[in-house]
Parts: sequence; structure tokens; C-alpha cells
Amino acid sequence: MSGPRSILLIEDSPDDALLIQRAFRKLGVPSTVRILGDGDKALAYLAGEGGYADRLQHPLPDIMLLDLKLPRRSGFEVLEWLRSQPGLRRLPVIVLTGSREGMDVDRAADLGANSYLVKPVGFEALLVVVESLRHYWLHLNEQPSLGTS
Amino acid sequence: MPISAAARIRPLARRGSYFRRYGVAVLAVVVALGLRLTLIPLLAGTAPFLVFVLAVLWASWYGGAGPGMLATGLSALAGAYFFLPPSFVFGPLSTSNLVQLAIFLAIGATISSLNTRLRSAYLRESVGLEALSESEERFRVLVEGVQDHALFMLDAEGKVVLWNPGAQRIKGYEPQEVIGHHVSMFYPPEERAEADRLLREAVARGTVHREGWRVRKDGSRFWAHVVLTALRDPDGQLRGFAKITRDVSERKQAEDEIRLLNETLEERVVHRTAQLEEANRALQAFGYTVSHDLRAPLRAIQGFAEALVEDYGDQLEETAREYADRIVAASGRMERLIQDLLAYSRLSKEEVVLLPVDLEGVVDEAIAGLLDGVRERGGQISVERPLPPVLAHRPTLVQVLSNLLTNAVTFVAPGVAPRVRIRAESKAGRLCLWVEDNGIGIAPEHQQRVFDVFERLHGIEEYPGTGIGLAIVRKGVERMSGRAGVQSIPGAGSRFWIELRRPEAKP
Repeated sequence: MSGPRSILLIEDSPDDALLIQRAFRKLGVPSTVRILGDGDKALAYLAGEGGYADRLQHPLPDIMLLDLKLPRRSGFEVLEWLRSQPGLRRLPVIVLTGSREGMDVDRAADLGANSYLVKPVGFEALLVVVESLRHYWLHLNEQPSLGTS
Repeated sequence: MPISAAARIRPLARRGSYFRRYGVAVLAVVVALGLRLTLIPLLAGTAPFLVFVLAVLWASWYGGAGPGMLATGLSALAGAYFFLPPSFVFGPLSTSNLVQLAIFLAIGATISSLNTRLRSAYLRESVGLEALSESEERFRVLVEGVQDHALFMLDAEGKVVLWNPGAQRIKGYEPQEVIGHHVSMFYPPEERAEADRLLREAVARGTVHREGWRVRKDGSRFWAHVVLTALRDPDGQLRGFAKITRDVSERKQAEDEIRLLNETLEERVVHRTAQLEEANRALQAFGYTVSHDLRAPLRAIQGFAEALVEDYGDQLEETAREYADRIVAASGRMERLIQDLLAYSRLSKEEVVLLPVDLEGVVDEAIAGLLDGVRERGGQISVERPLPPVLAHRPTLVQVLSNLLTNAVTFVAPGVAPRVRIRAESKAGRLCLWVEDNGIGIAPEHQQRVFDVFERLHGIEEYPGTGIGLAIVRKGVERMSGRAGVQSIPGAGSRFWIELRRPEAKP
């Protein structure tokens, strides 16, 4: 599958969001990164509710980068909800968070995250992470279909 | 001083008063003689011996058989001389007079012997009674004297017959209030049946000891220690019961207090433990916060400083670029500091399970992590193989070795290429791993300090470091039941060692 890929980034910190976007830009990845700042908005977007009903404007993403510490609804809750939705549960979710705690890694795996990455300090390192992400998930990985059960 | 009853009576019968006894006998005969003489006008020659019977009676009563017989003999002589015809002369006697004399002698002898026996019995009884009375007196003094114990006696049915002042003091009743009443009156109303049970048990076993509640006259209760003994007469018949009661309320109160303290001790320990656990949890949460929330702004600081230099570097003056570089460097140091702090705190809280670990693999892994840095400086790390396995926690051991190697490679004199040698030394059950370098060395007075947290011997400009690396080494090694140390001479390199347990040899 080619063409601009759609990445949904759920990140509450504007700093982190900005840096990640910049990293994607630097890599020249032909993709659009949509950013949502809290868990409720994430749910609404994925469910196509409210202002997100128009799927042309707001398409379902190819992968979702999910921070854990979010206002309103935590990343865990979003993940849990997602995996219970028939039309959405196959969406590849990569947890991208600041915590390296074993507890969090385990819980994310239990809830069905596809991968767990720690937000690094330092731009070089961030570039490496983003590049690896892009290469693996958007280039190598076979994309499952969404929208139908 | 109590004189025994027997001692008091005996003087009368003692051999020493021999003179007195026989003297009294003679006196008795003389008195009887005198009496009979005065009766001559009335009696003339009749009843010559009758009055002398009195003398024999008295002599034998006072002195015993001997004096009695003497009196008999003397009386016979006197009677025969004075009152048998011919009178006042010892002449031949007629047959009837002889018979009279003989009868008198027989009467005298019989009286003497009977009286003697009567007297002995009387004496024995007196002595016995005296002794009994004295003994009774002693016991009474004993029983009355005891103030702290209630000593009282019950009859075979359990009714009070004796009551000592101790009982009065402890239970509050005067003797007349309790004598004749059943012992169950001292028990609390709901335990009255217990009284009979206890009596029956005492009858069966002889003595019973029990502790229980008793009631005083004023209605108050006290905790009593009771000893109940069944009393039997020589034939084995139940005569009654002896009961000793002691008020042990104080002791019971002390026991109750201790028990209460013990129970609350449990509670207090649980409470204290919960507090400690709470404090521990708070600390862990703090560590988590450090990890998560401190890093977030750090990411922003470093990220945007770098972005500034990268995207707008050509628009910045050199000084401005330098400022930005310093920001980046500082945030990098802070990141490493946070990492080390987290590693250190994790060592304290994690459960460390020791398993056999391949030391060579761990060393290789640690070296691989530093290879770039080593190559940059033209350095070299050599390992003396093979390295035997050790009992350790693999991730911790990797961290420990990485820290040691990083130090070895970092703390060299400027311009010197680091040379590091790793070798192992086996001792009984233990393995000593040496990391030897050609670095700047550590002065003896600092060799212990360097293992403490946040202890640095150099400024940050001279050599990079967080001051936690060796603290992690020591803590990590200790958690693995080992030790760590250093041998060093300033200017001549350092030899760091860690000692770990070896897996037990398989048979």
C-alpha cells in the first residue's frame, strides 16, 4: 500500500508533539500526522463521533502512536476500549511514552499494544525512533484492514 | 514458755516426791486413827477398820499403789492394836477378828490398785487434754494470725463451721454471718452450682486448685485463687473441707493488662507496618514521578535547544550557538543523572533472585555498550578468559560492569589511551573479578568515599560523571550477596574488584 499514510498521535504535551512532528518532517516522510491532545478526543475520532464523523476529513489512521499519561482518559483506557471495538481492534498501536517502568510495559502488552517505545531525550535519538517507526510500521509491516469485522 | 501439761502433773507422781507420797500415807493413817479414837464412846469396839478405809483411799489416790499399800498395812496394825480386843495391846486374835482384818487388808489392796489405775487414766486424760488444749491454742493463733488468706472450714455438706480473720478481711463477712451457711454464698449468682461441683471434685481428688470470681459482702467481685481440701478422719470418713482463698485480683489485673498490651501490640505492629509500607509506597511513587515527570520538560529543553541550533543555527551568532549547545549539554547530563538515580533506587526495591549467570556473556555485553567510546579514545579492553559462571542477577551485573568499565575508560590522564584488563580470581565458593585500568588512580583517603552516592572527586569539566556510578556498583553487588572495593595508587591506575558467589558445584 502506498500513498500518504495517516498517523494518529495521541499526545498531551505540545512540546513533545511538536518535536515528534518535526522529526517526521525532517525525515521527509510522506505522511500526515494528526495530533489529538486527550483520551476522549481519541475515542471520538476513532469512533467517528461528533466533529469527526466525516471520514474524508478525518480518516481512520494506519497506525496510532499513543502516550500513556493523558488527561481525561489514560492511554491504557483508550487501548482497552479500542481492542473491544470490532471494526477498530486491528489498528496497530505503538505506545510512545516517557515511562520506562516495567509495570507500564507489562500492562500495555496485556491490553494489546503492538509495541512500546520510550520517548528519548535528545533529538538525534528521537530521529532514530521515528525513523525506525516509520520504516517498520509504514514500510515493512503488512497493514491489517479496518472498518469491517 | 509453755510448760507441757504432763510436766505439770508429773511432779505429783515423780520419784523425787517419794518421801512426800509415803509421808502423806502415814499422815492419813494417823488422822484416821485419831478420828477412830474420838469415836470410841459411840462405836466402842465395832467397825475397827472402817475409818481406815478413808485413809487408804486418800493415800492411794495421792501417792499411788505403794503409799496405798503402806496405809493399808499401817491401818491394819493400828486397828488391830487399838480396837481389836484385847485393846491397846498386841494379843492373840479371835477368828472373827482375824476375818475382819483379812477383809480389811483385801479391801485396802483392791482400793490401792483400783485407785492407781483410775489415777493414771485421769492423769493421761489430763495430759492429753492439756496437750490438746495447747495444740488447739497454737492452731488458733496460726489461723487467726493469717490476714491475707481466708482460711475457713466447711462441714461435710459444705456449710461454714470455722471462719478466720483473713476470711473476714477478704470477703467482708463476720463469723456469725457465715457460720452455718453454705459455701455457695460466696460465689457469683450465676456460678452457684460451681460450688457443689468443686466440693465433689475435692472429695474425689483430695485437693483441688481453682481460680474464679468470688463475691464479697458488699457485692463487689474479686478474682480468687482457691485451694479446697477434703478432710477425713482416721477411718476415712469425710469430716468436712478446708478452704484457703486468696485475693489475686491484682495479679489477674496485671495479667489482663499484659494480655491487652499484647493484643494491642499486634495491632500496633500492624499499624506501624502499614505506616512503613505507606511511606515506602510514597517513596516509590516519588521515584516514578522522577522518572516520568522530570523527564518530560527535559525532553523539551534538549529537543528545542537542538532544534534551535539545527534550524536556525546559521542565523545565530557564535555566542548564541554556544549558549544553545550548553543548554543541550546540561540537559544531557540531567538525563544521565535521572537514569542513574532511577537505577540506584531500583536496586533497593527490586527483589533480587540469584541465578547462575555466564560472566563472560555479561562482560561482553557491557563492553559492547561502550565500544564506540573506547574506540574514539583509541582504547583497548582485554579479557582473560575463560571467566567462570557466578551467582548473580544478570541485569544488575551488566549495569555494574558497565559502570566499572565506563569509569576505567573515562578517568585517564588527558592524551592517554585507556587500557583495561578484566580477569577473574577463584576463591573458596567465591569469585573475584578484577577491572584494572591505567587511569589516574584514587588517593587512599578517597577510596571509600568514591562508593558513596553523589561523591565526585573532580569537577564536571574535568571528567564527566554523575557521582552515582560506583554507588550503583556497590549497592548492586551487595544485593547480590557480594562485596566491592578498590586498590589504587594515584598516577598508577586503579584495580577495582567485585566479589560474587559461585554456583555450587554439581556433583
